[in-house]
Amino acid sequence: MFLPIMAYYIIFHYVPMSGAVIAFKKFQPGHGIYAGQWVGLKWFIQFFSSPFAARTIRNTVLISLYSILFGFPLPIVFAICVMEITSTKFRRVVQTVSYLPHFISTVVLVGMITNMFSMNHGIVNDLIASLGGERVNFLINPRWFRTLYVGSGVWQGFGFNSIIYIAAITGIDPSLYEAGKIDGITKFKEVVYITIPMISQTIVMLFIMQLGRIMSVGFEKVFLMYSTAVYETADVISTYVYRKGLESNNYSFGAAIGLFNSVINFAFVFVANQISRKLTDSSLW
Amino acid sequence: MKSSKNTLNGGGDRIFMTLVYVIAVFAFVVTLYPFVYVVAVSFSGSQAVYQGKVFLWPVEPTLAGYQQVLKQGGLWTAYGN
Repeated sequence: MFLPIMAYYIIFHYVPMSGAVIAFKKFQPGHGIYAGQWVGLKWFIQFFSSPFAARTIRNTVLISLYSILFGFPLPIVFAICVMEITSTKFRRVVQTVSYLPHFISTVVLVGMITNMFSMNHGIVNDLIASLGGERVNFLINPRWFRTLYVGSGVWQGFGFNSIIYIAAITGIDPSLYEAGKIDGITKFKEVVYITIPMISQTIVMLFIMQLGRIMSVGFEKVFLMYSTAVYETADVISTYVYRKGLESNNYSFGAAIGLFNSVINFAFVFVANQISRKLTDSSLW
Repeated sequence: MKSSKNTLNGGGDRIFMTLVYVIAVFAFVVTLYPFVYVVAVSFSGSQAVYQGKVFLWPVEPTLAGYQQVLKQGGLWTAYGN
């Protein structure tokens, strides 16, 4: 029956959305969500007129864009590579090892980064020094923050995210490859003309879903990795709101900015879906 | 499986397969090395780590790090939770 599932979604997902109303009120803990003085767009104005709004929005968008730019193609490339390996044992070993980073928690990951990239004791700087270069303080230098953040994100995600592409590639009809072999196709052309077009639907769908997260840069990882010295490139919307919220216990402010984030995300998903439908006839809805 | 054919048509295919194996081995090393490093460091003496002598293998092997962690009462509470 369809009804229980619909009821679940209505009760637990749609009704609570009305709680977003605290973004437009001056929320007082203890009086309930719907009480409180109506302040309209006060929190939004407060956020956008603060001196750091532009910086945080820019950092959020840039970090997300870099994450997508580097983190999206790599699982696909890796999946294609893995499927080309002829030795089953080697393929399984590479796959299993690639899944490992996904399972370590953010805290452990940032601990590893802090350890490995440290200025005087980190192994990366030791390597640079032994090759004759100058040691770089990766963790304090704002110019390296995005690289470290996106790089570690890609390192964590490429193996696990490649699973779905490997599954898609496994589902490709082998007779297509045989038809190609009759025509004397090279392996590279095989990838470009058979493999990629056949998984293009999967790629587009996952891309749209990825775009839907563009404004939600993870608070946890940025918060663990940043410090006052790198605020210039590291401060994102969520960390800025966290600090402001701590200063004044302002739940409404946090809700307002969260709402703003969600609206932008939704706009992105909507536009991406429209574009995808026009270009490839496949879309999420 | 797609990869079970072994026919290589000429130089283009060889370059492609070399690239595939390079990428696979690179991914393998890059993914595995931090774990190996962390394990090596955890078993090394603190002086050796401080001086940056640990690469793949524990230097001055010691269990001091593990002893310290296990002595912390908080760890067992955290596991319980």
